[in-house]
Amino acid sequence: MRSLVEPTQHESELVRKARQGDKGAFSALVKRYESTVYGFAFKVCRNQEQAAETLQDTFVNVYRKLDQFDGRAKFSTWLYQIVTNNCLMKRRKRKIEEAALSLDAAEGEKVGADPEGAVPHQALASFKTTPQDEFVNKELRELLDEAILRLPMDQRIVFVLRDVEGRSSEEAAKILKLSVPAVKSRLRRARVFLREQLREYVET
Amino acid sequence: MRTKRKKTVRCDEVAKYICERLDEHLDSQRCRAIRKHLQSCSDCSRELANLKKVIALYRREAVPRLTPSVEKRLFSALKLDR
Repeated sequence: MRSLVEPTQHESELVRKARQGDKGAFSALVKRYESTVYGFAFKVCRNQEQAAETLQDTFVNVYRKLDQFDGRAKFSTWLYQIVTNNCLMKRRKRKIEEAALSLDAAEGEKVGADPEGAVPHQALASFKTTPQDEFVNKELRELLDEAILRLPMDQRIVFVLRDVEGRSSEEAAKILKLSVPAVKSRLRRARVFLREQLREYVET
Repeated sequence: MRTKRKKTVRCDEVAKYICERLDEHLDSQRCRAIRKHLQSCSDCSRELANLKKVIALYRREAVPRLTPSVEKRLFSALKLDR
């Protein structure tokens, strides 16, 4: 399923008005893309709180940088560039925090076991069936979380853009400012890694 | 008379192909050779099936809905009316 709202003429009008300071137009753009940005951030960081922070940071950046959007790329491509940058920035920030915590741990303090700082996301409505199904779904969700969180962030973002969101290699390359072969190479490594991580679960 | 050489592929080429171009329906001679290889090689076709399952698992996973409180925080940070 493609999660992006398809661009319309109305969208370019909204962008034009928002650039001129029209708050109503900017609000409409936020409404249009908030679920897309939140969903993408959640698929990458696997954590609702981090996805909510990324959502907020992304639209704050969009507001600040709207003047720099020249309309040559699709608005959605530009938006994805900002949200992927935010995901990468958050990852770097967490790495620094983890390093600081490790130093504290060396001095005798306790450190959380999860390297991503991820907490299990709450049971989702669509998973709620029988208690047994819920157990299986929870187990699967944890497996999927663990596997994807072990991927380097650049490969994880490529995998989500290409295989989960259904973006083309060309669009992923534009979003990530990489060449198409570089996108394909990261995608190949991500797919192989995830298949190995989940081998026991998917083996036929 | 020149005979047309049949293109054959090895399992490692197939593995690279299916991991790089899984959803690109290309129709080159090499792609046709790979498709043919997949029909006769159970190892490669199993790996392809496993890979497709992994992708399907992530693709069909539910994403939590944006809650009203998260949306409220967003609009408040942006100083916008909802």
